[in-house]
Parts: sequence; C-alpha cells; structure tokens
Amino acid sequence: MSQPSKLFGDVPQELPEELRQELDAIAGTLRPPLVSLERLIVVAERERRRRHGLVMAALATVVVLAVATVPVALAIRSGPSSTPPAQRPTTSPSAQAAPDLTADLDDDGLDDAVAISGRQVTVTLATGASLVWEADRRAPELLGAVDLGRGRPGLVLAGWTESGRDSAIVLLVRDGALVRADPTASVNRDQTQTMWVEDGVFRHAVCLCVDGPQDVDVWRVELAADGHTLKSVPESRRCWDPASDRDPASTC
Amino acid sequence: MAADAQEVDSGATDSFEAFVAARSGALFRTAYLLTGHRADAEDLLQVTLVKLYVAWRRVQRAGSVEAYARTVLTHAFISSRRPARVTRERVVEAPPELPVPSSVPEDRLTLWPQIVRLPPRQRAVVVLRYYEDLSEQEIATALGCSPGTVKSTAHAALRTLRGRLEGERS
Repeated sequence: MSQPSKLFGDVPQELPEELRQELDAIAGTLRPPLVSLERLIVVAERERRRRHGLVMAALATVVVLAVATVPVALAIRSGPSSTPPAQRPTTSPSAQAAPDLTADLDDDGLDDAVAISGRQVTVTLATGASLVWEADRRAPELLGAVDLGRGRPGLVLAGWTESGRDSAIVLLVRDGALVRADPTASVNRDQTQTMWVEDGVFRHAVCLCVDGPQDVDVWRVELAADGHTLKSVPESRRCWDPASDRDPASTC
Repeated sequence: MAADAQEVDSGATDSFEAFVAARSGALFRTAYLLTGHRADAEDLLQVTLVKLYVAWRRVQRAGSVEAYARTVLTHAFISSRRPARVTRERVVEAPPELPVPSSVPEDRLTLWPQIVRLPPRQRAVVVLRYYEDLSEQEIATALGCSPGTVKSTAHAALRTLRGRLEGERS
C-alpha cells in the first residue's frame, strides 16, 4: 500500500500556495448577488409542498396495499387447517416464552435463546443458564446475531444515547456473563446515520447526509484483539437514500 | 396553538434570514469557484438556500448550519455535473467563455483556466482545501467520502494541474 508521504512526492511545494493566492484573488473580485428572501421562500415552499405531495402519495400507496392485503391474510388465517400457527418472532415478556432469536452466542456449537423484555435482554444458554443485561435507558431493539471477526459471536441491538440518538449496543457472552463490548468512537459518532446486520455481519454507514441517494462509506464492525473493544473496518462505498427505510445497497 | 406555530415559523424565518444575510456572500464565492460561471453560481446558491430553508429546523437542531450548507452546496454542484439520463441542455451560440473575472489581470491567473477544467470532485476538493482552508476530515464530511479519498483526490488534482502548467510553459 502506498504511503501518503510518497503520494505527494511529485507535487511541487509552491503549487498549493499559488492555488490559495489565485482563488483568493478571484473570490475577492466577486460581487455576490442580492438574495431576494421573499422569492427564495416562495420557491422553498413550493419545494416543500412537492415533497409533502410525494410523502402523501407514498402513504396512500401503503394504505391501499394494506387494505388489499389484510383480507387475504385474514382468509389465510381462518382457513380450514388443524396445524398450529407458525412460530414467529415475538417480544416475549420472559425468556420462557418463544425467543426473539436463537443463535450460538457462547461458541459451544449449540443455539442459545435471546429474549427482550422492556429494557432487559436475556440470553438462555443451551446449558439452561440465564444471562441478563439491562439497558439504562429505553428498551433496545434487536438487530441480530453477528460474527465479530475470527468467528467470535456477538449480539447487536440498537439503543439510545442520552441525547436520544441511535447507538449500537453489542453484547458478548464472556466468562459466564452477558457484557457490553466497548463501542468505538466511529460506531457511535454523530455522523453515523444508519446501522444494520447483513449476512451475519454488523455494518454501519457514515455520512453527513443531504437529500436524495448518495454514496456513503460503509464500515464493518469487528472485535479488536483485546476481545472487548469494537473497531470499525472500512469496507466499501454504497448508495443510500436517507429518506428510504432500505439499508445501503450498491453504488449510486 | 396556531399562534404558537406561527411564532415558531416566524422565528425560524428570522434566523434563516440572518444566516442568508451573513453567509450568502461567502457561499456564492465558493459556488463561483466551483462552477466557474456567475449564472451557474447563482443557480447553485439558490438551490442550496432552498434546500437549507426546507430543512432549516432540522439543520438548526443538528447544530452545524455552516457545515450542512457547505455539504449541500458541494453535493448540488457535483450532482449538477453528473451525467444524467435526462439533462437540461443549454443551447449557446458560441463555446462557453473561460470565466475570468474582469477585474483580475489575466496574466495573474495561471492556474484558474486549468482549475475550471478539473473533474467536479477534484475541483471541489481544490476549492474546499485551498480556498475554504478546510481540513481533510471536513472535506470528507462535505463530500461524503473518507479522508483517504480526499487525500488521493487532492493529489490527483495537483498532479493534473502541475502537468498542464508544465505543458503550457514548455
């Protein structure tokens, strides 16, 4: 891999200074236009109405789809069948109810059960032992079980920081306890706009987002060599539209 | 309740008006250096201010109006230069003139004609780095890329400028 110092080796030192002087000289001669705030607000309000219209159209589509889908779903449910209802993920009040997730979290080759009740996360190991971790603020949302690198398993949840922002919570089974891994600065910093679990990998994207689809840097989260601290590894660039609920996909 | 909402709206408009009064000149200068054309710079400024106005409350809550405005401006500039399936073509009688401000002697501008020929991202990096004096991290934030990408883009831009200057001088 190239070293940055070598990268800049063939650029003359005086060029940046010349650039500064020339750009300043041009900027210094410019007379900015008078901005008509009234006209600007008229255009902005038109833009806002256009966006509002798009949102309403999307909502209407959702409502129409829901109305069309519900009778079909009810018909399927009430149809002649002696089979028990399929098991679905639930937010069960206790670990004894159907788990929200099953995954091997202590790396013993056997699935463990994960259940979330309020702020409490309970992992019931295959051995029967129950491990509990409690969020200090609102109830976290379960994102999934992941491989944190070199086969080390972890559980990813979305929680909330004191300022109310999304924050990643990664729980590990270690020494017979459920503990939270130390987050890296990059997982929780303000520019983090979205995080998700995909193919058993925990990823997050960083950008200072503006409207519309845009390229964002995607990072993979792994466990550092100390086995307790998370680190973000730059992985790729993908396209993400902050207005959509979809995770970043291919490039724009 | 309606009166409250009206009061909030009026407060938001006041703070937006103050921002426009204080910063639209600087944003216009950056827009001009990016586009190299006064009319395009005015369009870019308007697009930026409209987007800013629409998102004004959210942007104020986030706390960094200046950075947001710069990001919107840079993205709008790059998007406007991106080939699109549907583009607005401007029909002109003659090729576009080199945008040299009349009050700066042309012989003082050795780099400017080359800067306007750089690809949009390279040009954005040059302007943000050498006119706005932003750090690599700040430019990365504005462009939505990593500081490493900013570094390599800046290097490519400087290398191109140097090559063209040497070509002209020889």
